[in-house]
This record gives sequence, structure tokens and C-alpha cells, in this order.
Amino acid sequence: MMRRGLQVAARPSHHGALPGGPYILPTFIPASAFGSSMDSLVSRFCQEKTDLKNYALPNASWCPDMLNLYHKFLEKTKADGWIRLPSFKSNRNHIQGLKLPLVLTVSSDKSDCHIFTRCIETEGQGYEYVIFFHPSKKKSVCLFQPGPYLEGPPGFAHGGSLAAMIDETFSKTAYLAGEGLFTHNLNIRFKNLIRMGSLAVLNVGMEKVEDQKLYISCVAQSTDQQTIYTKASGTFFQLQLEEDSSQYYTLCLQESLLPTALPTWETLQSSGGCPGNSQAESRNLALPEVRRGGAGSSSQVCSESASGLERLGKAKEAREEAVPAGAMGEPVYSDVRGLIRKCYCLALGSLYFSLDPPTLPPFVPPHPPPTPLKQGLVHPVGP
Amino acid sequence: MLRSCTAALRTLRALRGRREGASPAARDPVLARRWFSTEKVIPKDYALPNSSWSKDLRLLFDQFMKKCEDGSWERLPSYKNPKLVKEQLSQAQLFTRGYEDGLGFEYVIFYNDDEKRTVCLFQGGPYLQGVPGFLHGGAIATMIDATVGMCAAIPGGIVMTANLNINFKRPIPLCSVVVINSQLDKIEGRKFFLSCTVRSVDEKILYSEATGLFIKLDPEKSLI
Repeated sequence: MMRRGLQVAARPSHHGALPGGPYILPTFIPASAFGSSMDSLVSRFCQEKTDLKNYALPNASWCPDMLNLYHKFLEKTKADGWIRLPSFKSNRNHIQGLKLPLVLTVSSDKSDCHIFTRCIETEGQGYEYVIFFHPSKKKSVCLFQPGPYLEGPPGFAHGGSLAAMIDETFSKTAYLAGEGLFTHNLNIRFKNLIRMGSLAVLNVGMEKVEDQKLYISCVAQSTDQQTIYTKASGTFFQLQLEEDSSQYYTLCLQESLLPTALPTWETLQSSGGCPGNSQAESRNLALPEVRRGGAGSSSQVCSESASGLERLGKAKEAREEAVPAGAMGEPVYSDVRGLIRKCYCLALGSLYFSLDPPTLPPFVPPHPPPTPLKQGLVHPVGP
Repeated sequence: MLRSCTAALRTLRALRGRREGASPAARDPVLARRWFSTEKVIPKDYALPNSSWSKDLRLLFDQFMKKCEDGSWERLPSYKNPKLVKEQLSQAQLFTRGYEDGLGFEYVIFYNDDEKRTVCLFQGGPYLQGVPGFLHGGAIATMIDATVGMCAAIPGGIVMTANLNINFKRPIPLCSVVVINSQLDKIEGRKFFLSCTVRSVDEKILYSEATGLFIKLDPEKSLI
């Protein structure tokens, strides 16, 4: 049971050799295990095998110009090194397995968050776009068709919608080309209006990286390149995302530590009481407070995270002290009740903190009970 | 942008109408015909509190409404559908009012004619997400464009955004309230130079700074 749990847990974590004995799960390593290579970023970003809806695919509302260029770039993905970027409902879907550094973790009780450019779901009404990225040239092309819900001047696209599209293309390019995360500066020069329902081609290129800032620029023009709609430039801060360990805790719960896999209550009761209650309580207290919405400074988040970490640290110490040191080979049934409570707390916690689960200390399961000898298997000594 | 100008013109007419005592629908037969109804349709003013507004936003709204009482400040009403230039059915609606209550842009703009400045109280909803947990840069840019555009449109009439330069200092958490202050700096012929800051409710945190250049359109020339 534990071994199977280990295998399942080891799969998503992708860490190196397991430290310690075979029944101790790998510890959480805050730094990115993949490093910052573009290939790993791109492969993690573009998950082809996923149930999530990909919005960057043709639909009935796309104009002929957009379809033509889309197919032209799709051909280039086969030979010329271009990649078609998928587009999901939320940016969280693009960074599965990664999360923002703790100091930038913001809790919110709104769970239905959409990325701004994918919030109008009706086909053809809002943003219709697809981004093609070229990793080695560090540039991208966005095919953008604004719908009637993005209207500004009658019959033309709102300047803000174009600004959002430019920022979105910039941010995807900056992230994949150099882990650029937050927009630092955006400078947009509007030249001409974009007629609603027509195609705008955004050519984005990364210029340089200096002082942990990425410099990026864009020209938005018509299909025939005769009309320039806007010229824009921007800078992005580089920020490395951290590995998100809460994912393999959830997998452990699902695969190996289901109540049916644990000893029954009768077995527990027969082995005597367990000091699991104190551990469960300390675990409950260790979950950091949720900041419900509201404007807050990063320093507030820092102090809350730091106090949360202190509480986690104290809970870890309490747990380590409370684990009974049994003799060699003795079953440690007394910890199982606490284990069950921990599992339910973790499951509830990961559901409650669905947006930004807290960093949990490494999970060390108790030693598994040895299997009792079955009758008939004991070979009699002698002939 | 021009869209905010048509909205501005509509709100200005509504303001004048209110002063004169007429209702907006009575002076807007186009809207009634568009809905194919003989009843007078009163367009909904979105720049009023609704159930999704947070406590901070309501408090600020009340503070500014008190300031409006002596006439120095004016609340600008905000409608979803503009007066159409051509009488035809269109699915178009103002970009910033196309969301259900609380999901997208919740904002109200106040204008001070003496100081030539606008203040926008803005609450970004969960459909405006960028980096998980924070507001999308494009959403902030849209609101800055709307606020600065209104600040230029009221003295200038029909104006168009020529340049927008935004410096983001700190990311804005999702569903928080910010105050966008926009000021008209100078006018050179048809050019309107404006600046803008985005701050937290208590004004202690500066989230963004921006400058904008708007051009007053020549009514004789066409848009394209």
C-alpha cells in the first residue's frame, strides 16, 4: 500500500533519488526542479493531453483572413519550428505544477476566475485569437479578431481591448522566452482603428534582457500589412515560479491512503488508544489564515506567510515529538487514527485553499504494520 | 477612445437633461425604436451600487456623493448601449459594461470641472484575471484609458487615444478596490496631455502611473 503510494507520489514530483528509507516520501524542494530552460517551460505550458478546453482553435466566427493565416502558420509548426500555443480559461491551467512564490500568494474566496481575454465565452463576441510562438527566434505572432462586445467607437474595437490583447501576447511571449511574469511598463501608440470583425496581426519580438527585465515590442497591422494599427513596447519582470508540492499530496490521498486501504477501526481499537488527536489539532492550527479579498500590500502577505511558516514549523516539531518510537518491527497502529485525520484535513485544506494551497512540510508516513503470518505458510523446521 | 467619447456625450446629455428635468429616454427615440417597443425604455445606469460592490467601494461612493452635493463634483452615469450612429440592430455594447454584476468591471467615475480631473472608483472582478490572483494588465490599461479618456472628452468633445504609457509599480490583487485619479495637464491645439495614478483606497500604495495623449478629432474628417 505504501509502496504503491510512493510510486504514485514520485511520479508527479519528478525529483531525484528518494532520500532515506523506501517508505519516506521525497521532501519538498522549493526551487524549480526543471530549471529555467525554455523547452521545459514550453512543454509544461503546452499540455496537449488535457481535458481543458482549448480556446485557440478555429470556430465558425473566424473570418476567412484569420482561417487562411491560421492554416499557413499551422503548416509552419510542422517544419519551421513554430509552436501553436493553447489557450485555457485561466492562467493557472498553463502553470500546472508551478505556483507563484509565497510572498506573492494572494488568497481569494472567488474560485471562478477567468483570464481577461477568455471571459467572453460566446463564439465571435469577444476576443478571438491564437498565438504562434517561435522558441529559437523568441518572437510570436498573434492573430486577433475583435468581436462586437469589444466595441469602442461605433464599428471599431475599443482601445482598451487592443491594449489587453497586446499585454496578453506580450506576457505569454515574455514568459516562454525568459520567465517574464509581471508587466512593468506598457507603451502603446495608437495609429489607426481596427474595424470590428476584421483581422489584426500582432508581430511580437523580444529585444533584450537586462537587469532581470525583458524588453519586448510589437507592431499590429492589417492582413495585407498596408495599415498599421498600433505600435507598442513593454518591459516585464523576470520571476521564477516554484514547484507546487500540494499536487502530489492530493494524489497520495487519492491513490494510496483511501480509508478502504487503511486498517479498520476494529483493528485500531484492539491495539489500544492513539495519541493522534494532538497531532491532528496541531495540523489544523498550522494551516495559514486566508486573506479574504481586499487590497493588501505585499508586506502584509509576507508577514502573514512568515507567521504561517512559523506555525507550520511548530506543528512539524510537535508531530515529530508525538510519533511513538516503537521497537524494531512493532506495528505503529497508534498513529493511524491521527493519519486519517491528517488526510481528511489535507483534503479539506486543498479544497478550501483551491487557488493557492499553502506550502506543507514533508509528509513522513509511519512505519507500515508488518503483515501477519498466514497459517500454513510457516514451514516446519526439519524434514 | 472614441467609444468613451460617445458615452461621455451621452452622459453629458443626460446630465443636461437632468438639470432641465427631462428624462433620457424621451430625448432618445432611437433607443426605443431599436427595442421595437412603444414603451419608453429607460436605460440602466451601471454607475450605481449593486450587490457585488464591496464595503470599501460603497464607502468611497458615499464619500464622493457627499462631495457632489455642493456642485463641485459630478457623478457620470454609464450606459451599456450607446446611441447608434446608424439605426441598425447591433450586438455591440460598451466593452467595460458587458459583464454580469461583480464579475468584470465595477466602476463609477466622478468629474470635477474646476480642477479638470476625474476620479474612478474601480473594483476588478474574477473575470479580469491575469497572473493568478491578480488583475490583468490589460484590464488596468482599459480602466486607465476609460478614466483618462473621460477626463479629456468632457472639455474636449470627441477625442481619440493617441498614446498611452503605463508604468506598473505593483500588481493589483483581484477583487480589490482602487482609485484612479486622472488630471488634465495641458492642451496644445488639438492635443490633450493627461496624467493618471492608480492607488489603493487609503492612498498608501501606488499601483500604477500613466500618461496619455489624446487628440481631438476633426469633425469634418472621417474616422478611417
